[in-house]
Amino acid sequence: MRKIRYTLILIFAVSALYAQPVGYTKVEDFAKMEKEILEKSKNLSSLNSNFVQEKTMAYLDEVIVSKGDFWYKHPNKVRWQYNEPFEYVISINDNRFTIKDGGKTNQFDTKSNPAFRELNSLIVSIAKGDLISDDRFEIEPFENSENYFLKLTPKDANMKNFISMTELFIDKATGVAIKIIMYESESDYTVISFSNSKLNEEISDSIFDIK
Amino acid sequence: MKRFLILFLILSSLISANFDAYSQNEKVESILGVDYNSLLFKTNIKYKEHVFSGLTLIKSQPEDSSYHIVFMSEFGLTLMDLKYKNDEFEVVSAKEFFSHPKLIKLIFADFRIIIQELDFVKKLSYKNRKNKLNRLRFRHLSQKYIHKYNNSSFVEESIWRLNLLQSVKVKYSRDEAGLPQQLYFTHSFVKLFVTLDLIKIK
Repeated sequence: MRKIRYTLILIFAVSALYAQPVGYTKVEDFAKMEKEILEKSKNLSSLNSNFVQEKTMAYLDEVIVSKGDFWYKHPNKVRWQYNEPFEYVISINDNRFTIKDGGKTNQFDTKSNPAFRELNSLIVSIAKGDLISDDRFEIEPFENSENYFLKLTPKDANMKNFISMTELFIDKATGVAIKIIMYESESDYTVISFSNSKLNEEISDSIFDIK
Repeated sequence: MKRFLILFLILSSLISANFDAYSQNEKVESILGVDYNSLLFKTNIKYKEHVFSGLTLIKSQPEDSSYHIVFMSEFGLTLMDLKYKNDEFEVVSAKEFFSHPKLIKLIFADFRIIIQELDFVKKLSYKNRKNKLNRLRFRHLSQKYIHKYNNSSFVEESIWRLNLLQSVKVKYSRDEAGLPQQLYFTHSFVKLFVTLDLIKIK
């Protein structure tokens, strides 16, 4: 009987440790945190960051690293510019997406690439912080003195097709994301880390107008 | 009688010349013509009105003698993971649109052309042709394959044919060292175009 009790205590201790990231405590007042993040998101007119994207496929012992720059301008202009390992630009400007690949530029309707559309909308919501009010996700919030850490589990069947869980680190001072981890499975996930973020600086519309 | 003898000699010389031209089961290097642990390609797929871009990883797994072909979006999302082992393909995972059986069949055919292990092919015929591209031809799993080699012994064009209506053509653009910098797949009677541009080789 004693053995069973100890085993159960150990299981609970381990699962509690797994659920709560090291150095973070559970956010007690979700409404306050949500209000704080949304307030900052509302005031965000533009965002420009560097990013590093690491796609890990542990089952294949492979990590693919891409680097680039990210621009967002309220309400719906986005530019992803990959500089490494290849030069590639994706721009979304009023539901039209343009891809510049080497010297070639192609323009498409976002409807023609549903995977891209879903994921782009997710990442943009994450980057600007307004995902917190998105009811497609179940949110477990944690915090330390500098960041919020949110575990987002999709409720939406469409989103579940893409991602099993997302972990999001938000800078408390600015309200924008500093790191996103998108899990497809335990051994297949992508980390996007943002750095050198510049908020609310003037960004010319021409940045999103790729020719 | 003499006439028959001459005719016989002419015919036998023609037949023997033909056999000389095709050397069977000659040791043939891989179709891609490179040794690799992994190949990473920038990828563009156009299928009817749909356009997908992203990356394709071809990864050799020596521990179980398999190859994985992983197609992922720009943001790293795995859209399709295929496995080639013991001369058979299987779908490890395929998201939404990519799980369409007809499309999967076509993608199997495309990747079989470039990564299939020729040890599984019973009879290879290699033909040296004067002033023309050398050719490797074989039939495998009731399908016909023709690989055309350039002067540096690298495959320049591949053709896969199942029947009169279904065929795939692959064009290879190579650098001076023979590395396949670009592979371009076209399909007869199907509006499917696949372009793979080499980014990294390990």
